[in-house]
Amino acid sequence: MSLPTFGFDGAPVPFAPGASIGASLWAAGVREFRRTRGTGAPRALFCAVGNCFDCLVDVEVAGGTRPVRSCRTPATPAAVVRSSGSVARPEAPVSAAEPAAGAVVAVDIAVVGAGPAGLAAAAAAAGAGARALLLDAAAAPGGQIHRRSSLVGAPAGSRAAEGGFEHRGRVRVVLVEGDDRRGFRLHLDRAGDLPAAPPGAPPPPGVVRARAVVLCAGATEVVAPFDGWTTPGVLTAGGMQALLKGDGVRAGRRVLVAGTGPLLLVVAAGLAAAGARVTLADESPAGSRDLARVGLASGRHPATVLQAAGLLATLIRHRVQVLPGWRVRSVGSAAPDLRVGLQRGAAQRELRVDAVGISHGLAPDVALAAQLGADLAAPEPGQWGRRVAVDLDGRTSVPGLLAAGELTGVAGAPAAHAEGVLAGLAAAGAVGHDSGPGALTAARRAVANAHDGARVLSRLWPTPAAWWAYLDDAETVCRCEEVSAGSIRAAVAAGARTARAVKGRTRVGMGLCQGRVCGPLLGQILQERLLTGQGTAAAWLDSRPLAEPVDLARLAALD
Amino acid sequence: MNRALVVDAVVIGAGLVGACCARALLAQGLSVAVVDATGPVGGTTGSGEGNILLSDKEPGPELTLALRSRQLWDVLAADLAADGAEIEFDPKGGLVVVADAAGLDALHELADAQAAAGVLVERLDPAGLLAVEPAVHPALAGGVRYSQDAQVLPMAAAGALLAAAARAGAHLIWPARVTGAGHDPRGRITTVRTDAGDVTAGTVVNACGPWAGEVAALLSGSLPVRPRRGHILVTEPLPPRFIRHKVYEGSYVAAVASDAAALVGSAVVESTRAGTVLIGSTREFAGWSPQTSTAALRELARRAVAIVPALAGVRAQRSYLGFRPASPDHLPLIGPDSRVGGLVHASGHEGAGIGLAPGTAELVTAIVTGIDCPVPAAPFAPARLAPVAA
Repeated sequence: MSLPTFGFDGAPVPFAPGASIGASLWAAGVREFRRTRGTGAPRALFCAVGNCFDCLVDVEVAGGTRPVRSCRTPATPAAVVRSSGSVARPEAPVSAAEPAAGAVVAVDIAVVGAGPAGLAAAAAAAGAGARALLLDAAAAPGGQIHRRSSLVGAPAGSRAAEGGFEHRGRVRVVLVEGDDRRGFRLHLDRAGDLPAAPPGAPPPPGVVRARAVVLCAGATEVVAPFDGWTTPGVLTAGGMQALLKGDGVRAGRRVLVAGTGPLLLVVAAGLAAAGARVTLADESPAGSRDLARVGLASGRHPATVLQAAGLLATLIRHRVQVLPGWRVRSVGSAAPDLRVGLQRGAAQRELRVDAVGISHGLAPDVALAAQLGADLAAPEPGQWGRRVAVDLDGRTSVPGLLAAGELTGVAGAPAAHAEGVLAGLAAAGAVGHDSGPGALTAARRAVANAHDGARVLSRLWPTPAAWWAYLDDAETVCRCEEVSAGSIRAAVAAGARTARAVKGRTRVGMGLCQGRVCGPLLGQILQERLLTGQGTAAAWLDSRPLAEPVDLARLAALD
Repeated sequence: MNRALVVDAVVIGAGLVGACCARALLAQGLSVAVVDATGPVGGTTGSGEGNILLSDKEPGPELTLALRSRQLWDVLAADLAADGAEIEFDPKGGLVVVADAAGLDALHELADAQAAAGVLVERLDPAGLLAVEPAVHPALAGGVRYSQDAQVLPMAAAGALLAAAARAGAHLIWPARVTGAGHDPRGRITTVRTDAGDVTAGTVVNACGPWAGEVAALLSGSLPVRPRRGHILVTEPLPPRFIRHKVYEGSYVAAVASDAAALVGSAVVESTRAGTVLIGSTREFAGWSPQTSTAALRELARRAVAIVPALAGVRAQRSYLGFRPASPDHLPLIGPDSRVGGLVHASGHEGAGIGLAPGTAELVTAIVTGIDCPVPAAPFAPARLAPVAA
């Protein structure tokens, strides 16, 4: 039986049920989804999970032509898809009817993000007797973990049936604000880039009023730029994992997985098991090599050590070529292949592959926390981007607002789960559902144990710092607006010392991803290299509303 | 600064008004320092739309200043372009549109009065509106086109002006927060004290926008300026010149003149060179609250869609807010402090600061040096609002 197809620039593209347009195009060998507005450069998938807005394709909608994230848009036989010029082309709407405002739901605790932290928080809050609602953009809970999968899979507890709490998938939080009376109002919208559903569809999501909120929005992948990093065929390592686990698509036949961090092992093993010929280049060789040794020496975290050993065994079984200490210097197109230049010390080598998966770590997604005015803390050494500042139980500086998981500092799935439990209990306590000192003590101990393990891991994989010095002036730093390293250097030379000033001169961070990809990079440049006499906050792009693009029709219907 | 700096004039505030003042004073041969709490783009100059308008001003002193300032903008834009600065000065023109007949009568009356004062106006019927601006609602009652309205990138302009000032010998000092002032026995200001050192000057120009009242008090003067908050929505990229003019609904003039503390909205919609569409405007007195107002975003979206219906299917990618320097009688506060000699204020422009900046700088320079200025200064004198001495 043949697969259904959709049309892309008039040609049929097969897709597996449930796969996204972007994954299906990739599987069909398409490597140009759109051309950028500025230089007309080709782009395709990059992060593959909806953060970078690189994968835009044009779809016909009622109001004209709209660029949508192909990685977030399910393929359907009716879809008429074209490669995008990266601008929306609206026409006058057919109907001027105002969309109905959605319903208002009141709960004790709203949990945002259904990864390990969010699932744990919702379950813990519900277990303490509070009415908890878990909100997430994906249809099913699990977050990025079920695709990306950190070094240790999500603990059994978080895979438990959604006992006692409500779950609402396929929604995203557009705006959060303090509620006049008490607590918070979260304004929801349908997840994804397609406009409002046709008549007959269920009413749109409206407003959630919650007495307390636990933010578990997670983190986004960081790639430190190198020459040619915008070449189609270069993906984030997590993006490769998402394609494999989420869409059933193998990113390539001959694949390089490179960068730093424990994620590389997981991605390399996954692709090797899926039949790809994999090369793994870890910039920080101590990580891969010493992980087992450090774990054994400390005597703790046996699960981590066992899983690492299992991954290494997979790499050996599939004859993955391991290049410890080599970093990617450049990627160039040698269609249909990619030509990758690697360097270790003074030595250089070249590889030919058809896909490159890169990761240099993760940066917390602080947008919603910033909207509410929660204090953000500077990154710990070895981490990217600001994180939400919390006390030992997960409370932020805003009363009634808690945060858990990678949002408060990247520490892996076990820590996220433990933090979620603790924040869920603390949130329930804040709205009058106490769990008793025993439960809180146990939860705090679990968090402390988990953080211990995480610190071990992060010492093995420092964030790269030399990338900025190596990056050519002509190379892109802000992918959305095509802002080059040279223009950022010129802005600084002309006196810009804050992220806001650099943004004002160069447009860095002003594109659709609103600084999710380039913000941590700019922050590292300013914080570590150039900032003098300024506070921490000045190095970072402001996290402004809106957390994601929202139809003006939806904003016009805000309650 | 390691030791006290001595100049003829110190300008406090490195926004567009301050930058223009620095340029104008330097041109008269004064030595100049510019001081700012954070550095360029720290304040209102980086938070607005970049409006250079005649359309929103009723005949009176402000329109007189705006007409002169609009002429000076042409000169300024040409000079900066010659310097190689990219400030995206675009004399695109403004289009005020009205949905109903009564509103149209009022607009025509205003336009006639403005024309008598020297503003170029052109009445347009619905067909005429669609011909010059195809994206507007097809069922409007009519409108007026103001060909002299223009757009600019305020941050880029201020940055270019400050860079040119530095090349001409101005001292640029930031970050430096004003902490106080020194005065001579007659109460005339002699020194500005900051947390980065002192500046001694015979003339101090207070161009601090919505912070001008606070700074005036630190200098022992007074200025009744308070922050009037505004929100803006920015859409995803659309084709360039999807909207060709600055398009406003006719209620814009009334909104500017309103004293309402509660939220007042009036649509202003325009395309940028990057292809995004800027959607303004809201006004409210909300102190310095940085919390985005859901009500403000709703107003912006509703009103924008009402005049450009195709925007209903377009997405907003971000919003931002800023604080306009509001003066109690809606006229800028340009002139000497009512008590402190040597202190000259240049603030209170509310939403018109970008357009009025070059004209303000000319006025300030005339007040400081005694040279002629075509615009009478008296209507803007801060002393008009000084409380009766106790």
